[in-house]
Amino acid sequence: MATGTQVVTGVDPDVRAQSWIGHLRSGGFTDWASWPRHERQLTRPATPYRVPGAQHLELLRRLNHRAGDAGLPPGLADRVLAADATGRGLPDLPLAGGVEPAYGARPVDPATLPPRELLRVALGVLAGELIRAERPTKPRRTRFRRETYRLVGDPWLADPLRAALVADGRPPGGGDAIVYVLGADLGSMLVHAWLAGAFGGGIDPWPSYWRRLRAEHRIARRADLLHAADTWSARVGPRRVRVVLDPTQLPAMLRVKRLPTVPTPTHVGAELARRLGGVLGMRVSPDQRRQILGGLYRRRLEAVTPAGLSRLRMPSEDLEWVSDAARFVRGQLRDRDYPVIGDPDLLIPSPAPPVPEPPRPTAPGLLDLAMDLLVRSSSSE
Amino acid sequence: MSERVLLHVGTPKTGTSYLQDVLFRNREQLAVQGLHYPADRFDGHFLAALDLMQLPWGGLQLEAVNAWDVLSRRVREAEGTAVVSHEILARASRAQAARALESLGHGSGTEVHVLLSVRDLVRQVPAEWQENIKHRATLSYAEFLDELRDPERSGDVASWFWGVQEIPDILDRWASDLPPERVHLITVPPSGGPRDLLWKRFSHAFGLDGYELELTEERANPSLGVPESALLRRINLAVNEDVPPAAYRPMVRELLAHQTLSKRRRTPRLALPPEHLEWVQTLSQSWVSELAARRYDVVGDLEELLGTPPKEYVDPDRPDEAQVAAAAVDAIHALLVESTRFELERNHAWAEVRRARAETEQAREALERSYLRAGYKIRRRFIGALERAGRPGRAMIRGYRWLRGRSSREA
Repeated sequence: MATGTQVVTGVDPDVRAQSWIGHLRSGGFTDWASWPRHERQLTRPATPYRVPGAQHLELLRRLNHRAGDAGLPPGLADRVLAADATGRGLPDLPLAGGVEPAYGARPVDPATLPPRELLRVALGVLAGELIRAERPTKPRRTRFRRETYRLVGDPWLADPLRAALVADGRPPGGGDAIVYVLGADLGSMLVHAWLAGAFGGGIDPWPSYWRRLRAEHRIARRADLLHAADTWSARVGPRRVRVVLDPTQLPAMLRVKRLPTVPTPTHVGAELARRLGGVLGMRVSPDQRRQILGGLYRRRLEAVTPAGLSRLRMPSEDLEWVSDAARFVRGQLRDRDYPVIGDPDLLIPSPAPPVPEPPRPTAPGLLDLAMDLLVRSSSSE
Repeated sequence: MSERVLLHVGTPKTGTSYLQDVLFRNREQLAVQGLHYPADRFDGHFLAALDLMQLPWGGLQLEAVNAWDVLSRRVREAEGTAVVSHEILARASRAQAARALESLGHGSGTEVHVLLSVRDLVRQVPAEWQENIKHRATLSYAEFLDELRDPERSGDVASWFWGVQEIPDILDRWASDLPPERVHLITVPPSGGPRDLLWKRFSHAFGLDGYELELTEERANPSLGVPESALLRRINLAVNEDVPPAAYRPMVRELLAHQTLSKRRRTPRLALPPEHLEWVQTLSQSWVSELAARRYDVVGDLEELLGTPPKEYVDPDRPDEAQVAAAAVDAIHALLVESTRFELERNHAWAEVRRARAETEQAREALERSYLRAGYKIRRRFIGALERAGRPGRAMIRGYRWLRGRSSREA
């Protein structure tokens, strides 16, 4: 209906766009600017495709390039082209070279789109793939004999261990259950508190979060071992509370053979989780979101993260005030007479290892990771 | 199935909140007469729009999961005419609009009409800047205008503005599939005319003429003046990093902007700068010509979209500082009144908490005394042994508790 200016290219722009979409859908990755401009070189599909935005087409092109001969998982191309771009940003953009619309967004060469626009589409697609692939695990029947326990404290440590125990038929609770308050060095716990939000119910970006802690020299609530120990002590009595700083001793205390280790992700991986959480929050319940991010997404992230990459950690310039706070906590634990499993000095953070700081998330880096996850995912886990 | 659906998709700042308020207040009465406005909360259609477009909105989107599916199902199940209305729907992409239309019955026998209330850009431009400021934006008015005039429209602000204000493009996305007689434009009359004229136009377009409706006198979305807008922008610059969205909404947007600063009516009003008038009028004229050629149903007059040059212009980027200071005093006053009220409520709540804690402590002491009794210790050891004995032991405990009628569980 809109009028516009016809750009003469020697080919019907619709035919060119349709044949390019067909090329992308079959795994091709020739860019739009290089796509043939003469009708005799083009194939028109039998049934016209709906033409999505240039962002969708460019994302598909890059995914095809990344996947190479292996190709994309079945059906992913269609889902990319049908996805909504998440959040605010440019609307669905027409392809350059066609009729210049009189109104609405300007046509673009898709290859010139900024990474953040492609990331908007990639986040929506990745969230959809994770929802599709998520399979709730049925926990094993409660074991005949089991230790009664509760795991609380640092949620980044406690939540996955608790989930693993539940899956193994060892749910928490029971009469006289010992409450194990898990912790680590305070610097790590402050990182874990942010990660728990990024992989859970949402939190501000890392720089904002850390800036607030630094400004007030404050311990985040999720990293507050004293608060957790005091809360449970008031509930069940101090004799049933243990502070655990050495997690290697937990399997013996819980009478299990082993417990999973919980790696810290890279900053880019964690930031992608945080943004995915925003998209997932619009599609599934809070519990499902937590399960998807903490389970399936985290496993896939570890699978694509190269070994040796720097993980998210406390900024080295904050070692002094965090160490002071840790010494205070250590003293309070001693004064309140909580049994501590492991050396209380484990609370004090060590100077950062002489390795490069973890790279900060940028739109190109996040897009790269999102595409890796899409290309290397499988529809079944 | 609804025979007819009236889908009102925009634009913002055209009296839509008032219309939606009337529809919500009178929904039961209207439903009896065959006009359905399916909503259980006043922002129900807003949440549905967020869900359709997967739009983040300061955390509110978390309440919107599946909201569009629920709304469209209720529309399909209604008999008669159904109304769906929210102005942010203007921003939907072609694909989202197509999904929405299909879900409402378009193509399956339901007669879907698209309605768009529209106002001249001379008023929309300053109104949208102010709306940005009320949503935590910190950009100056000059920066806002620069973004709007950038032909690339690459920034978020420009992309959003034109997405919800460029009338021919909105209708290309929403109504390209509809015959022109099912597309209805409601023009907002110029300032200074009869106060109820816009409502009469809405009433006519939505088929509400003849209904006895409970109308409200209050303005649903009051506007701020120049010094008030400048103050709000400065507040945003100072607090955005420290005040999360969930706190900003009630404290800044509602308490300060809507309940306090908007009551200051004697300060200069926001307006379009004179140097941008020609650009706006040229653009508006092209829209008017295009819309006339499309032969849509117009309730009002397309010429009203050309707007009227403002009588005066006061730059909100260089406001009268005495006026800003006076607005700040009003804002502080409102915050102190609210803080006092909050403090009194908090003191009352803490008194209740202390009382409850004292009662809990008394109960705990009584329990501790009972734990020291020999009979209790023997029972406790026996129960512990049963729990450690595994499944049979735990089954015996459950049976015992069932017989006794206990409902509490162990800590």
